[in-house]
Amino acid sequence: MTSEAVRDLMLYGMLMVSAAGFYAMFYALGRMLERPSIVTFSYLFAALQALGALGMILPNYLDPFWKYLIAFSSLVYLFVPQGMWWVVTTFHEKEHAL
Amino acid sequence: MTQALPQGRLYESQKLALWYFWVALALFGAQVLFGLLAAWQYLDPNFLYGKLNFMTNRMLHINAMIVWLLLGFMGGVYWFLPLELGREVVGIRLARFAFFTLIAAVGIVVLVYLLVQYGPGNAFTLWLITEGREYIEAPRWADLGIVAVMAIFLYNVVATALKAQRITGVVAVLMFDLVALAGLYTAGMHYTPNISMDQYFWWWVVHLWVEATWEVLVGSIMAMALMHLLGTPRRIVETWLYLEVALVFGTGILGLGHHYFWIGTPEYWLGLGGFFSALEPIPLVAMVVHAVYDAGMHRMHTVNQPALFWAIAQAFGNFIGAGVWGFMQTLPQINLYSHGTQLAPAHGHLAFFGAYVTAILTVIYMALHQVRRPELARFDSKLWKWAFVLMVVGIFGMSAAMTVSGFTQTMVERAIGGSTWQAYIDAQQHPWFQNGMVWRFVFGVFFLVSYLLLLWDLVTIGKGEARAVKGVGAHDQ
Repeated sequence: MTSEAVRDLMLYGMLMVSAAGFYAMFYALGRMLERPSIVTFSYLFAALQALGALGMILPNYLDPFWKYLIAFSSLVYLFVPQGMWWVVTTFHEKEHAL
Repeated sequence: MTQALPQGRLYESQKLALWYFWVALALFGAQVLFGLLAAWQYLDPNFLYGKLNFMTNRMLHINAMIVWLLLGFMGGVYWFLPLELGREVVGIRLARFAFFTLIAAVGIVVLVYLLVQYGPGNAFTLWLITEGREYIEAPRWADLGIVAVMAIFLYNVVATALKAQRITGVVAVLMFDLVALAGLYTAGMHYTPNISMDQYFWWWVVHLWVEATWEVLVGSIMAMALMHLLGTPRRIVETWLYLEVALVFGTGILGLGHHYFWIGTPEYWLGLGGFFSALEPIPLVAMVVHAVYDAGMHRMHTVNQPALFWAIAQAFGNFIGAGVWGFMQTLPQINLYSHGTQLAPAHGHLAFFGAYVTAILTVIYMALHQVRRPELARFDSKLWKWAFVLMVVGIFGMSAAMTVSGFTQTMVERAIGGSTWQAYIDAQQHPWFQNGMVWRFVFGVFFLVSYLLLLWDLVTIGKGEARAVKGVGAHDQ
């Protein structure tokens, strides 16, 4: 592993997870405020998250096991906000209906 | 819903909880002060040399943190437990005894750290001065005391639940967690001359204790807090609590394997630990959605704004500190280079602050609200906002500065220099490292100021309209 590889992996890793968090935050905010523009804005962070993952996967730094793991994580992050939003709203609706 | 006492009245357990909170806050101040001294010694190694050495300041900084967070958690449980179970805590005298014993023990240990500091490295030192294990340096007698106090704490929770003939989901999780909390700490007292085995058990205490049992403990406390702060239905908070426990067991415990990379454990821990650690941020991202939903549902309106803000900071802080800063260095390929650099304290500062400090401050503001203002009256001040903002800026500033320094160490000392002694010196003298240390100190001063504002706010908030708090006698039960 070269020093450049260590640097790139760290920075792309940071980008990947922090962008996933911003994606989740803006997505939930957009749905909460019923503002489709904010939801659309959140997709920018989804793209950044995927870009971070690609930055770790495309170069030859990691073995296939780790590349698959990061690809899987990145794929999950893309659907976490929608899935979680569905879970939270459904759960709360059911609870308040009781 | 839980049964509360009439307005203005407190359970004895809640009065004791207030003691826990104030002592915890005092130790929080000690943590900040000793941290600042250690930060200055990075810039001027001769400062207080021979009087209050760097190792002593660092040890007091870290151990003060562990003790004050533990006191804050215990205070939180003693505050909510009678509300949760609808009766006074059974062993309240025992609880008081444990509190004062713990405080006396902490005082003695601190004095020994300050005045004696270290010994010849034999049984005398181990039992009476320091065990020398990073983060859990307490001498053996104090270790046993901590386990005894936790056992009393566990007894109080279990006995109260049995007496009340009511075991809620939160209390059940709490009971199981406290067994692990008391039990796992004993691993830190395991003595073996084999350094790998020694380190193996040491990691258990540091990580299974702090990252697993503390996470569940703070989850239980926040569950009780959210029911009272936002009126969130019990079924919802308990479901989330079970989910959190499942996630801690699902990814957290095996994810701790990333700490086993360097202690002579079999190679499969690289894959196992790395795999589960890489998945750890996923539930934290999911929690961000839930936090936004909860805050949005209530339109940020509650009578206790400071508690709400600290509760929201907890959800985001946990994600950023544990999730982002954790993932950045969790893959074994990176950890090989970043381990033990300033990146580790950057992650630690953000994670501890985000997950635990914010939670305890939420509970303290809620407790003070009940003590000082009617339940539905607004509990607010101008000062808390300043303290909140400055404290968040301070912790982020410190962590960012340490990240820059740690990044320099990772590159210059490890990746380029190959971890030689000269490479270590080169990294220490690199301008990026040194500037990072300067900014860490500057933001440390920032943090100290915010701590003083927070303390002043906690002392004064709601006091203008203070009312007498009457105790609850045995006849009231």
